[in-house]
Amino acid sequence: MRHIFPRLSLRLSPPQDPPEDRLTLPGLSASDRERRDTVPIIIALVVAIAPHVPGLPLWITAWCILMWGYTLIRLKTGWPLPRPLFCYLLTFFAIIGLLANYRLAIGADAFVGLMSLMAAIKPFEMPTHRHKMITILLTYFIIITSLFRSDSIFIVLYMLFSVFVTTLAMIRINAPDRDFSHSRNLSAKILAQAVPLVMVLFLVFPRLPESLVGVQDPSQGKSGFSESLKPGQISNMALDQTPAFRVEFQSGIPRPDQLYWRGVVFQDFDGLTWRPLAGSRFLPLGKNPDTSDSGITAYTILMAPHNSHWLMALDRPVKGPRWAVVGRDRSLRARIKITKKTQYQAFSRLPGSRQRSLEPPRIGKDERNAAYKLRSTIDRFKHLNPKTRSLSREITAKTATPSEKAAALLSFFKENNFVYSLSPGRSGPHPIDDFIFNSRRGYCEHYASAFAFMMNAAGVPARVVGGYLGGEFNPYGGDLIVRQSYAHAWTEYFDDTRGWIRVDPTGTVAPERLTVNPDGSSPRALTGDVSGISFITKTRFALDAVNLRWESWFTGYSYFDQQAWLNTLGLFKGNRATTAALILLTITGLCIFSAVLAWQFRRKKPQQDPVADAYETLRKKLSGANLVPEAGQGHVAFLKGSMAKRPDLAPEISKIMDLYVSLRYKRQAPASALAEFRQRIKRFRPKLFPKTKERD
Amino acid sequence: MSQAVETMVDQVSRVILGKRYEIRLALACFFARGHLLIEDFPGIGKTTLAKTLARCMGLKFQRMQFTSDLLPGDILGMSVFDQNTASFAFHPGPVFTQVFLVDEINRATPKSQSALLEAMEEGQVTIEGETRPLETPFFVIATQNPLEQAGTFPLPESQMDRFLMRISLGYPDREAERRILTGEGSNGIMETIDNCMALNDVVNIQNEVANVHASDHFLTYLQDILEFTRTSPEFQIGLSPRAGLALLSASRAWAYILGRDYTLPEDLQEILPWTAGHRLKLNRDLGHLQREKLMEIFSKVPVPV
Repeated sequence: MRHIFPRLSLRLSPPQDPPEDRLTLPGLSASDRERRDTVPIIIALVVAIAPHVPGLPLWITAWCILMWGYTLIRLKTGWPLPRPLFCYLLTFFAIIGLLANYRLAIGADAFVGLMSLMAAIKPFEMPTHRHKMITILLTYFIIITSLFRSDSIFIVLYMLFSVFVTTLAMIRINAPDRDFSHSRNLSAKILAQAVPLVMVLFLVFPRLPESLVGVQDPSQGKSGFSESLKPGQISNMALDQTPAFRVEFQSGIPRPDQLYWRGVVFQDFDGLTWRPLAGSRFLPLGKNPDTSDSGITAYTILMAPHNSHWLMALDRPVKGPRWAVVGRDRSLRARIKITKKTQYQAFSRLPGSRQRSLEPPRIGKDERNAAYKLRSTIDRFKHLNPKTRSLSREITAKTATPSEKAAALLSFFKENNFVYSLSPGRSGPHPIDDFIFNSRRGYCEHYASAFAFMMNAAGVPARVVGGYLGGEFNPYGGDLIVRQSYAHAWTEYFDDTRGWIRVDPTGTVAPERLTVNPDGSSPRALTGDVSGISFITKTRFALDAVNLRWESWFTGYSYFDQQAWLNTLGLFKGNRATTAALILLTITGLCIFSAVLAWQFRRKKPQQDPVADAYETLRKKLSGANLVPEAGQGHVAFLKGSMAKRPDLAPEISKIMDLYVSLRYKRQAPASALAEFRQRIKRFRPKLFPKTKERD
Repeated sequence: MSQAVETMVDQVSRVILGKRYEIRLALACFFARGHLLIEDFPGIGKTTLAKTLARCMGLKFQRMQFTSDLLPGDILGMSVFDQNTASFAFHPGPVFTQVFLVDEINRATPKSQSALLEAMEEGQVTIEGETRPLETPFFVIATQNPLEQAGTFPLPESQMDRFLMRISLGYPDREAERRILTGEGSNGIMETIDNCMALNDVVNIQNEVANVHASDHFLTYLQDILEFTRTSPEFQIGLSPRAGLALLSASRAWAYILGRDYTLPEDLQEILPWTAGHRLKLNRDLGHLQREKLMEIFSKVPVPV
């Protein structure tokens, strides 16, 4: 029996304070309130930052866990809050760490890092309701930054969930007396009500033709090709399984050996590094090709950002999107750098067989000049790779035509035990000599580079083309995923009569590379046939197909699409003036919409009572000074509590309170009370902080 | 803060140490012409409180220990045949007093309990067909032991309603306990308690309390509270109109004690746990309604502006 006494005694002893100080409603204790508010905020923050974790440096994640962990533990143990000075110190270290981590690459990543670091220490200073609301708004901001990482449907769905959780936290803070299921339903309802508005804004809000206002993030899209090709560059990408782009074919899918995705054409070689020809000219776009021509394939590409100009297209592109140009070397280039996910349509002419020329025999004068210029640049670097140079002359001595020379060189590779290898080893100052005479192990770029060099040495202009080979076919979506690891390099030589002819020396050494992707997946079209695939692969394909549909719709909805449907409505013609007008119109529409909403909600609580009106004004002013009543707190108790918290405001509040009490609760109020009450509230201007720098 | 009341609280506090808040509540209950139920363990000082209050106000005091073999006649009194006058003479029971302390009210049978409860409600008793008025003021302080439930007859809800307030004294805090142990507030001091007011004063105070102004706005809040107990799913049954009247008079008394002649919603909030706690039952939790829990529930009712 004894052991229950202490428990009961808690119940049996009411507070001992004198009653005059106990005018506040004895609700929850301060620590209970803190727990009630802090836990949902931290949950919302964790949910919001979670998608960033893979992209954030490890120490930022650890920092977040540490700070939030401390906040949660101190709710249980009652450990003290860090002092403001300590918080400043933390902020200082956070910024130092951030600068050390990102240096000058202040892009989206650094921005998200900063937000995460600050959000982690924010729970240390949430003394008032206002701070909690600021934290909630910050959380919404963090949620939207998830789009920096990805706009896949899974991220967007997760963001919706995250918005739901944050809204729920906001409801919990503002209406703690609602039970959980009620708050949950309200949050869902608010989210559902926002959907139509989001849809309208997505469709109508004017898009700009270029990414003028978007975040230009230099750190985005580092993977992929750069503007030069060195040995070891492509093999570095061999393990990177992230998708470089996805393709959807409008007509049938080409054969696996036709899936050469042409990207950068390298025509300038200094014996070590291949570069595109400086100052090469670009042609404006031609007309849309005739798609009924069986040689022409039309397809849509959704490309990941790579922070460069090149666009991928099937070898060889005939036409790209309207914001692209075609180079003399038959490569597609965008007019601006691809810094965000981009979708475009392209047309290509595919060769019928491997030996056939890639283009009809129509060789322009300057194309021919370019070819011979290329050979002359090779001659400039006679001191490099001298052994290969003489070997090439030796092999091709007995041949006459360029194609015979190519065949001779290819059979040299075939007959001399060359090995296709990801790790070819180091090379010396003459990388091609080392490759040909010593290691004989190499990746596609070694073969392409050596072959092109040898062809040039034998007097045939040849160049290296960088791009991708193959693609993983998704039987559900019917689309092709091309991953970074499928990066490839091959060669083209110039035949005076037939133009540029593609030769892939890697194929001679490793023929399987032409039909199978490096990761073992198959580029073969298997529409509907999923029998031979494992369950995990099937699921992956299915999810991927769903995501592609979403992304091509979400990312693909561009300025042009918007213009197109607005045009069909006959509303606008696509020029800059109407874009500006549309922006103005949308903003005006939004303003009117919110004004109507505000008016609607205002009308729902008509307040004829001047005392109540004036008191409402007073309450708003006080909440501006961080003075907010507790749930169910009486007004006199609230005003007295405010006086205790802010002695500087006490005299004025006291006068207002006396007037309020006499107007509302006394037997008779003086005749002038109402006028004075309103007058005093009107003149009442509480400052956010007291003049003396006394905090808390 | 009403000066007369504070003097009284000071006096009583000399005996009951460290319980000023509870003493004020008991006084509020008395000034509101209500009756008080103290739920507490033995030895906390219930009897001392009742005695001191009576003495302080110069009122007559009676104490009665309730037992299971108690009969209504033992409380109310009975007529006894007088051989000398050859007639029945009425011998009034202990209920004919001004402050009546009933110890362990739940030990008596329902029959005896109801005899007392009728006296409390009506202010009169009917014995053998004759109605006899009780003295004014009449103030019942009943106690029960919350722990020992074996062999008791718990008061039914309807009769709980007759008590304006239910409070607990609770253990003294450490400092007060030390003062008790060093001999302060021992029995001898009771004799030195001054008589703070005349009989008239007590009645006057009760009349003044009844005249404390309850504005429309206050009544709106009171009605909101009543409405809330009747509609909220938290409670089994809502507060009765009698409970509403009890809340009103208790609020008035509390406002009076704080020296005001008008009520504030804060007064109502202050006496709410003690006045409504024993009249309400939660739907989910059938246990004792704790003050904190009750206040948390009532914080959902906004105070009208």
